[in-house]
Amino acid sequence: MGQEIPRVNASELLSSNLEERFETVEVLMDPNLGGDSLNRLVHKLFHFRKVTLRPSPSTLFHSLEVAGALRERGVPTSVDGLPHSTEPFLVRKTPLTPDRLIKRNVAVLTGKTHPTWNVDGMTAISYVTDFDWEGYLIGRDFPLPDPRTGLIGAILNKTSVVTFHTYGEKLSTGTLYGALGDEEYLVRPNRWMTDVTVVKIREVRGDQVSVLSRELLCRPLGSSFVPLNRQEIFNLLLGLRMRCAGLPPDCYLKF
Amino acid sequence: MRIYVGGSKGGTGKSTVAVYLFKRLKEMGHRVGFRDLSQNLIGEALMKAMKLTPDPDPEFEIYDLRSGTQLDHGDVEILVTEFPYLSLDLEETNSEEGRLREEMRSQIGETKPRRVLVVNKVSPVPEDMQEQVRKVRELAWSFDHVVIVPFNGNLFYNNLEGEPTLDVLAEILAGKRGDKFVYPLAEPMHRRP
Repeated sequence: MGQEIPRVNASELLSSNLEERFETVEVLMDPNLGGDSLNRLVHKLFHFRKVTLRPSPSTLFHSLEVAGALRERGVPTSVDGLPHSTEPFLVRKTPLTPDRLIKRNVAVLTGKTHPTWNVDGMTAISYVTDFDWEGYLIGRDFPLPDPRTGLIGAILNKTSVVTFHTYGEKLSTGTLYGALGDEEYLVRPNRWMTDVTVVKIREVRGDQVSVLSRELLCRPLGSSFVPLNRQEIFNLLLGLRMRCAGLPPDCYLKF
Repeated sequence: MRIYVGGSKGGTGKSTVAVYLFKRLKEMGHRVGFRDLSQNLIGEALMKAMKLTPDPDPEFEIYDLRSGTQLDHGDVEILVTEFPYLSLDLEETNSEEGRLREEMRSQIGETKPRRVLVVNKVSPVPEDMQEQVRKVRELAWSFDHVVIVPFNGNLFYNNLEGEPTLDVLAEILAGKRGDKFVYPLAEPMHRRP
């Protein structure tokens, strides 16, 4: 294994064998990723012990998705030089007893490895209208086939979502699908639906919503968020017996 | 090892923390005792509801103290508090008087207990959490270990699982690690498969 840290474009990394020679890599998230290349990139990066992603202004979406997938699988990942971190592996030991509302909208998977909803981003989603159907069911009006945010939308009766796309040094921006009311925060859960990350909305211009880049990128879990107000955050944590762990410690020390 | 769990106010989650630690230390394979000395016996009720029974001849004896009781003479003393009571709770500890008392205790050869601060129910809202973490770091310098527990829907409903910060505290008590600060995004040693 070499000592230096290679710095490569994401599209070039796909055709390289750097993982055989290096433990750490710095990836410039170039805009040439498309089709299934995002999945291939994630699988390639699983082989490294430490990953740093450098987003360009137009590759924030890909950076957040890749960083979230890596962190949730235990690969220490940093975006834009912020502290490296992984997402704690926090699964439920005992299943939630679904109340009527949850049961009606979301199927709980049984007989799987962990007694929790399977909301892995790699899993296909089906929109169905038959409430007896045993599988995934997220709100029919929800504008995005993202199971985690869809699950929150179904439970809190929310039909708006923000998906981030543009990185800036201070603020990063996403597009709002749906409408904003008194929501001040954006929330995204981890893949086990046991913890959430919360970022504060700083600026709204039409359907463009901006947040502090450091708040968004210090604990990346993915690109799509549900807008909630303060009370709804508590309703979510209580309703789904979740917690909110904030940012990795090094982020607090750095800011 | 006698572990005293106390707090100045009711409702801070003192009994929840005490029973959580009991349960976790048991799961780790230790013999654990439990004594509810509080006025409302919530700890005892929680133990009963969860079908937990204290062990005879325990390695760890957890005392759930009455709110407002002076923490004294335990091998480990855990003060459970929450915002906005943190400053008030630490006022005495951080005062000149508190320092002098500590000095006197060490001069007369009293064994110094390990002191743990648990700040419970830290806000999920980012600007509040950042401020609260900053405040804890500023005020809690005199404790051996400081555990920052985020608001947790499981604990709110007395479902005593899924709080990694308290899992880490159990590991500290069992001598498996020695973190000075345990932040909400902590990862216990046993979690990652």
